[in-house]
Amino acid sequence: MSMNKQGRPTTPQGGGTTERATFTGNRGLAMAEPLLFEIGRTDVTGVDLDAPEAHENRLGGLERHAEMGLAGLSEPECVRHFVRLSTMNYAIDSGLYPLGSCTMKHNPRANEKMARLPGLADIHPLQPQQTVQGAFELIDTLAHWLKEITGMPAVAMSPKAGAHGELCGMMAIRSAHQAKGENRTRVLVPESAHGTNPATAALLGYSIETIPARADGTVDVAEIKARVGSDVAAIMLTNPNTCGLFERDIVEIAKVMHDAGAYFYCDGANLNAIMGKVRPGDLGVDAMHINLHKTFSTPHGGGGPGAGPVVLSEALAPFAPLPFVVSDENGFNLIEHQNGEGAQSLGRMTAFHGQMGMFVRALAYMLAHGGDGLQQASEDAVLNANYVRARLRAVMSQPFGDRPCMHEVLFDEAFLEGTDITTLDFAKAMIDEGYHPMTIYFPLVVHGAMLVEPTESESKQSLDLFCDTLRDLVASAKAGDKERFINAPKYAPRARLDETRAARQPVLRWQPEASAQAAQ
Amino acid sequence: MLGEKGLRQLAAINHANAIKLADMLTEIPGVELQTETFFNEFTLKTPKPGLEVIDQLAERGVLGGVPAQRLEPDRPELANSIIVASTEVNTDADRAAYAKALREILS
Repeated sequence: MSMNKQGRPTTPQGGGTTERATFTGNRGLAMAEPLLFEIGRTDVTGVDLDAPEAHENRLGGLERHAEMGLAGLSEPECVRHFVRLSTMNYAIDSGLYPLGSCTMKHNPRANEKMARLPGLADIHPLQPQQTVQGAFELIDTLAHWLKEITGMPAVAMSPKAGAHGELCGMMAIRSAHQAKGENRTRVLVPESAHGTNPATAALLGYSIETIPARADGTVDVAEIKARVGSDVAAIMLTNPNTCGLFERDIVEIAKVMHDAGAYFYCDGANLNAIMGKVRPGDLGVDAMHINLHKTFSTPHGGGGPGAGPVVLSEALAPFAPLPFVVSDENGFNLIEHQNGEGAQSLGRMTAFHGQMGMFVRALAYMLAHGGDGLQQASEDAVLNANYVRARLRAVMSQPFGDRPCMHEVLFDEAFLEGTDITTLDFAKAMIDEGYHPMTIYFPLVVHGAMLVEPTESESKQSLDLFCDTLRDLVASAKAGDKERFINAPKYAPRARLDETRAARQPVLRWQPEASAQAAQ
Repeated sequence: MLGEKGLRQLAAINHANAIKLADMLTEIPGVELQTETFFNEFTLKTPKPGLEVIDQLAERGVLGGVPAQRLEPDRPELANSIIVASTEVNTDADRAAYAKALREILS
């Protein structure tokens, strides 16, 4: 399997629409929304504040005099601005969100209710420990659930997101080797890995060796055996892998790594496929990050706040970062510093204890489901992906043949051959149909990849409409209706963007003069 | 919603409140202000260890700040220091309660 090095096209081919212009620029409820700086004024404030008592300041001569140019808006102006912006975005609350590998499942409102309890929302990480025992107990309980689900003995709760968790796990691995006086320089990473995996290893100074996939989409075990050695620190594997397939040789791979004195880092992004069915601890995993914002339904929030706790094996547990919660007969204790002989922690990943708001939401989700419910969530996630596969296999192409997938199904661009329509065009046409597209051009091991992850949140009705829509799109493509694709999207708040130009000539800052010129 | 105008007003309120609290607390015998200049957060030195002071304030229903030693355990010269803030969310009654509680603890 050769890697697709072309990536996705970024230059638009089509033109805009020819509808009549309105005076406001709005089109009914599809509103044109200016920037905050174009709405507010520096001499206006929407908050009614008392005047402060007169005082001689003690700022040491550092008081600011120059204007900042920050806009002030009234409350209605502010609310309308953000509501209008929100209507331009597709969200989990808008519809089926098939972004493969992201697990865009419904975010239950019960989570939000729990997160707003004042005793959890209005506390501070630096309060005296005896005044936040409930918060520590919550962290400890969540930690327990994560260890149970994964079959691992330890967990680091503080990493703030998935890639941060990868960093934590790899730092623990590096610390473990350093503690043994070993200097290992190489890390093995499959071709299909998410880019953050090699990036994390490279950041830590390791050199990356890429392991190719076999014809069936799983990682090449023979190649791993050939490349492993006493200078290899770790392998970074995702299971199920980014093609949506379970790595059936994973136990053997773990053994090969351990026999060479190396460790096994598992990217836990796809945990939604295996909860209650497979425990990574049983597979020989040494460190695995868990994306609470994927598997455990906390909001993705446009890149943050995520939460990426890392479960750790006995071998790596001593190197876990500070701080961590321990319990004894007196209650819970947050260990923030380590001294002396036993101090092996790799240090801190972050200033405070972790993404507390996401801990509350994730635990609420787990308690609402129970162990059996989480197992069912995984079963339904896998069932839904296979249902989509069954409904689309006759019209879309699967790179590794038609075989059962896990929680996501991978298609490639082969079915579009001869149509002059690319994966990108197909995705843009989905936007006009009211769907966020699936993940495209990832994993790179496949040409024009389309990775569909419906999640367990979708009903059969919802899945049928989605599949019927894709079938209709395929039929149009095959019938030569290029217009539907090349000029898409036509109905979104913005038409297809010139991504090349955006990358080369980005406008990074609003300037009042530039805005006036653009308006002319 | 604050905008430039509101942010300036809010900053002035914060600084005024911090000055009020710093002045009230330094009236207590033995309490010294260690940061001559500050915005809304300052450091005090008391005759007792900071960890103890903060714990005893908590027992009296006051979240009095952060013991410097919690952040800098390897600096023994900060063992009796506490880092205190007063922002727009504190009232005069809150500040008076703090001063009363600290006075009791240190007497």
